Amino acid sequence: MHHDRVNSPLIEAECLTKTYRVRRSKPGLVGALRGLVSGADQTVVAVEDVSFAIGPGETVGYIGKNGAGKSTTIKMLTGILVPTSGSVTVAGIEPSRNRTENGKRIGVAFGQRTSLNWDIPVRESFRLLREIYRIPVDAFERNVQMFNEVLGIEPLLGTPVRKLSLGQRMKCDLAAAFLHDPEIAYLDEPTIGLDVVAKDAVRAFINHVNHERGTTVILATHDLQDIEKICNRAMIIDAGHLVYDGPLEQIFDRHALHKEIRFDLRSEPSPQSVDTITQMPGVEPLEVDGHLVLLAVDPAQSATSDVARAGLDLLDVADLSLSDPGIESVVKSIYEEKLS
Amino acid sequence: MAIRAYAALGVQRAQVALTYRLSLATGILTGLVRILVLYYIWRVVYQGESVLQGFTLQEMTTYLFVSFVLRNFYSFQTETSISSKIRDGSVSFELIKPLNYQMARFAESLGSVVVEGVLIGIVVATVGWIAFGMSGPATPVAAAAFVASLVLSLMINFAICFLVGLVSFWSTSVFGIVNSKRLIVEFFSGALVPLAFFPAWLRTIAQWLPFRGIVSTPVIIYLGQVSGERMWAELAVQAAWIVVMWLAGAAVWRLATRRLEVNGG
Ligand SMILES: Nc1ncnc2c1ncn2[C@@H]1O[C@H](COP(=O)(O)OP(=O)(O)O)[C@@H](O)[C@H]1O
Ligand SMILES: [Mg+2]
Repeated sequence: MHHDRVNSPLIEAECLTKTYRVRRSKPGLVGALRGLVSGADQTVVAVEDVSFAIGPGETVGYIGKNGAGKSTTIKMLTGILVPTSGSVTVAGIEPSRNRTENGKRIGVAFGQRTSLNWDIPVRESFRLLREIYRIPVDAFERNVQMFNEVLGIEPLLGTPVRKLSLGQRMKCDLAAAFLHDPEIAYLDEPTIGLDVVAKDAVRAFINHVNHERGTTVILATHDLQDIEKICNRAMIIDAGHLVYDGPLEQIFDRHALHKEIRFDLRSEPSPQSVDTITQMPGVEPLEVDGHLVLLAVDPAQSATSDVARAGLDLLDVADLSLSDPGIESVVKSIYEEKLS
Repeated sequence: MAIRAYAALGVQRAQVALTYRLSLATGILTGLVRILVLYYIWRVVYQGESVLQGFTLQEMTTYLFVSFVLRNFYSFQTETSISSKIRDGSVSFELIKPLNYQMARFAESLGSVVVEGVLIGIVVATVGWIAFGMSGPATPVAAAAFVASLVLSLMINFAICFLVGLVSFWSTSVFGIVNSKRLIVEFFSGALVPLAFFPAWLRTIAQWLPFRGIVSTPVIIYLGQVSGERMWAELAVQAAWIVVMWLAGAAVWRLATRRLEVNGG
């Protein structure tokens, strides 16, 4: 069911815009009182004119660089923030106007902060959620059991959050977000700062609930691997604007098959040696700047090992690194294709 | 029942409060020191007098102890907890819960004070009784009305803290406002000096402010200084302030969330 696009969307955003006022309030009581009456000094447009529709059971990757506007969008979708203009409807209601109603059907996890009580054992926070969402005891036990199978959280439940590592905390936070079987899960950077093993566990978990429950997942991230493993649709936001909305395969077909090779140099390269390398088939310079040469390589045309060897032969290399392309290069090539 | 969710919130807060047992011990100690100091000041003031402004020394002693017990239910951080969550952005998690925000904060506020307040209250009242000759409630009716008035005073105090806490939606420096509010409450509630000792004009002002419902009203009911119809009227005034300020709190909350700008990821 999770690949279907159902006719009536579950989440609908129309011309969503959020502008923040930035104020510099002065210290002290006088400053505080003045802050009450004075207006804004400046405004920041965080999200502008974003429209989309998401059907039930979809897994949507919401990707963009830091500061692109992902969290702001998520906060409007969850009803935390009121849009400056435009509208959001989730299952027919406006989240920020019906927070309690909307709250029942959503689960939310933020990688950068915990929803669990810092001072008391995780199990107690779970119990509180059971009361808040009125989860029947058997459903609750079943969920804890199942989440434990995927995330291995059982040994953590007796520990207060402040004594957990980031990865352990995130696993518990994810479990907390799904305890009440939400229809929609909004996950904002759930893998940020985690090691590879913890990232994999988090991704496996999200996949699991989506498949088992048909939970609609909106996953905001700047890590392309998150969505590669989880999502069937990608929306790319850049500087507050939606620049891509479509199937995931397309991005990866077009961009992600490329590898990035980075040479850090001890001395500036000669133009001829750079040319020799960039003229290899499927090799494109992304950045050539003094002591840095960054190349995109299509592995179907040239083996990355050949390109690396050519670089080591021709350039005065201090350091060499190889990586999958980041969101930056995907966004860049989207712009280039649009402009050309 | 939704009430279970709020009760659970309160219980969890109480649990957290209990993990900080040190503050309980220091609360009792500093409390006793404060009472001792005030007690000896009043003894000096009463030198050669048997009644001042309608208070005998024993009534004054009782006032000290009962008002201290009341104060213990308030010294806690409803405002700072609300405002720090607004500032650090964790208010997000409160906004997505299917709960009424104001009710939820009230439940937490109760949870965080009740255990500590009752424990400190019992210890301090016992000391007052045994060592300082503090009297019990004037009559059984006064005792029952005192308990009712105590509950109302908790609600008044919460309603004020809630309003003050929400100021952080408009201002990043709530600290000064919270501190000024504490001084105002301390003074106009009668926690420092009974209102009967105020000059007439100041007493009139205090009469028309909500703060006296926090300390003065329950204590004068306890002492039997108001009884019968006047006692019921005092309880009604407390209740009226709760309604007014609760509604004001709800209105300000609605306004505040319209312009909320959550910080951080
Ligand atoms: N509370 C705020 N006040 C002012 N500016 C903000 C606030 N929150 C976010 N911003 C700004 O809005 C833009 C988008 O931020 P955000 O939505 O957090 O991006 P992302 O989650 O993609 O990193 C950034 O330029 C950020 O600095
Ligand atoms: Mg973010």
